Amino acid sequence: MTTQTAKEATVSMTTQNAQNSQNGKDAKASSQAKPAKANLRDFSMLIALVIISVVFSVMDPAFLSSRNLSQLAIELSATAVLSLGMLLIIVPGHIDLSVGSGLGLVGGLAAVLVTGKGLSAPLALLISALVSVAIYAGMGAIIVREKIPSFIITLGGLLVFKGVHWLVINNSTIPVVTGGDQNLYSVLTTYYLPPALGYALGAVIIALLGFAAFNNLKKRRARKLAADAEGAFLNWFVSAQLLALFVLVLNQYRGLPLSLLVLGATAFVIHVLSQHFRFGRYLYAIGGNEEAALVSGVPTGKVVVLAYAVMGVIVAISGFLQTAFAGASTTTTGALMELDAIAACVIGGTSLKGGRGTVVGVLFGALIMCVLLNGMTLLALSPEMKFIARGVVLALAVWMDVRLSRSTARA
Amino acid sequence: MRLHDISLELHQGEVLGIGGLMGAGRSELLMHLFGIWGDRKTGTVELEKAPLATAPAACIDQGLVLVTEDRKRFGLVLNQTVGFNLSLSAIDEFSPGGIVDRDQEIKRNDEYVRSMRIKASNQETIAGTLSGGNQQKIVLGKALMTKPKVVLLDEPTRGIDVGAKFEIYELINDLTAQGVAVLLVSSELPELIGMSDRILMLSEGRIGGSFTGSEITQEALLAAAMRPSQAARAPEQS
Repeated sequence: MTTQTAKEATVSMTTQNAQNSQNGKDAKASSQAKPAKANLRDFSMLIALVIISVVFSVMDPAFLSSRNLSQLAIELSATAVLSLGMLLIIVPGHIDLSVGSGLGLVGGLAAVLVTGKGLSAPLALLISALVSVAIYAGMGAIIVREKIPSFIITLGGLLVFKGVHWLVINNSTIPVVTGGDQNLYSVLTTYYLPPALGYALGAVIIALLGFAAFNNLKKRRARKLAADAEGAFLNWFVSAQLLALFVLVLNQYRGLPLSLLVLGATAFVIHVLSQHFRFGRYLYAIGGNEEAALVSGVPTGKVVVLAYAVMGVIVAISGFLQTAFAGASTTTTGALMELDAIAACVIGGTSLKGGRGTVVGVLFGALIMCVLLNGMTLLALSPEMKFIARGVVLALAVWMDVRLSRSTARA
Repeated sequence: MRLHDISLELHQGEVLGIGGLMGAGRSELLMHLFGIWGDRKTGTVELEKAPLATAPAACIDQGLVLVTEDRKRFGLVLNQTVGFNLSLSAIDEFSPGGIVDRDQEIKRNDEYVRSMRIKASNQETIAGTLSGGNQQKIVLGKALMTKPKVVLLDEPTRGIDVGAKFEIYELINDLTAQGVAVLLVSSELPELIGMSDRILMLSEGRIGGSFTGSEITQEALLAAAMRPSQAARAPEQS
C-alpha cells in the first residue's frame, strides 16, 4: 500500500497529503520503486503530449493535417536542436541564457555574408559556425577560469549578442538568399525528401533501432544485468509505429523536411556523445557532484569549456534553421528561444541541479513545447496569451523538477 | 589554517601514519599534496625524483591518489551507479579515442566489486543507497583501479562497521605487500599504531614529533600532539 502511494506521489506530484503524512515510508518505498517510477515518468510525457494534441485537434481539426504537422516538424527542428545543446550545459549544472540572441546573431551573420558580402552559402555557414564556436568556447572559458556563475555571464551574453546582432544586420531584414533564388542556406527548411526516400529512410531507422535494442539486450544478458526483453520490444514497437505514422503523414504533404534530418543527426550525435564518450561521463559526474568529480581526476574546467564549445556548434545549427525558416534575419529572430530550450530540457526530466537528463527526454520536452506553440498559433491566440502560456509552462516544469529532486533526495 | 616546515619521506611498501588533534592540519596536508588545498609558499614535493603535479588529474596520472575523509562530499557521485563511480578515475584506460569500452569497463568493475567485497546487487545499483562501509569500499576501489604508487588515506575507517574496518586494514596490508606506499591519517590512536611503520604527529600545522619502532607509544604520541608548536625544527630531508 505504501509503495503504491509513493509511486503516485513521485510521479503525479499532486497527492500532497500522501507525501506529507508518510515522509518516512515514502523515502523507503521510492528507492524500491525506482525502475517503475522512471518508466511512468517517460510515459507521463507521452500522455501529456497526447492530451495536448487531442485538445488542439478537437478545437481545430487542421492541427492534425499533414500540412500543419509538416510545419510543426520544421518548427520543432530549431527548438529541439537547441534543447539538445542545452542538455549538455545543464547536465554539468550550468545554464546558458544567451543562446536565443546568440543564434539570432549567428544566423544574421550568415545572412549578411551571403546577401551582403556575396559569399557562397556553404562558406558563409562555415565561417558563422566557426565564429559561434569561438564565442561560446570563450564564454565557457570565462565561466570556468574566473569562477563566475554561468547564469550571469550568459545573461550578459544575451544582451551583448542581441546588440551585436542588430549591429550586424543594421536593424533591417536580411534575407538568406537574394530574390527567389535557392542556396544551401535557404533549402535548410524548404527542401523535402522525395516520399520513396522518406519511406526507405524510415525503414532503415526502424531497423537500426531494433538492431540496437536487440544488441543491447544481448549484451546485458551476457553481462548478467537485468534485461527487460518485453519492455525493450514494446519500446521499439511503439517508436517504430510512431515513426512510420509520422513518415506516412509527412509524405502526404511534401515529404520529410530536411531540417528534421538535421535534428535526427544532431540527436544521434548528442546521444552518443553523452552516453558513450568519456566526455559524457564527465558531464554527469560534474553535475552529480562537482567536488567528487574533481578529486576523482575529472578535468572539470576543460570539460565545461568543451560543453560550451559544442553549444557553439548547436547554436549555429539552430540559428541557421531558425533564420532559414523565417526566410530572413530580423531583430526578433531567436528571441526567447533560450527559455523554450530550458523548458524543453526540464519537461524532459533534466534536473536543473545537474547530473540527470537524457536525449530522448529532451526530444519529448521540445515536442511538447512546440506542439503548444504551434497549436496556440493555429487557434490564433493573441501574442499576449502565448507569452503567458509559455511562462506558465516554464514555471510549472521547473516546479515539477524541484518537487522531483526533493523526493529523490530523500530516497 | 597553515602548514609550516613539514618535511617527510615515504618509502615503497611502507605505511606512514599521520596523527594529531582535530585541526592540526592532517587532512589539509593530504589535500595539499593532492593539489586541492592551499598555495605553497616554499618547498617541493617529489615522487620518484620527479616534481609532483599540483592538480588532482595530473597527480593521479603520476601515481598518487587521495581517498578523502568526507566521502559524501568528495568521494562519490551519489546519484550514479556503483560502476560509474568505480571506473571514474581510471576511465582513461578503457576509453581509447574518448569512447568508453563498456565491455572492458564492466569486466574491470566486476573484478573490483569482487576483490573489494562490495555488497551491491549489481554494478547498476545507485551508490547512494549503499551502507557507509560499502560506499567507502567504492571510493577505495576507484582509487586503486588507477594502479597508484602512493595512496593518501584520510580516515579510511570513519563511520563504518567493525567488519568493514577489518577488511580495509587487510586491504592496506595487501597494498603495502605490493610495494604501494601509504600515507594514513587517523584519529584513532590504536588504529594508527597498529597499521603504521612510522608515525608523524602534527600539532598546529607543524611536525610535533616523529616516531619509529619502540618509540611508538600512546603516551609519546599524545604528548607530541599536544606539544605547542615551537620554533621551526631543522627539516629532515625533502
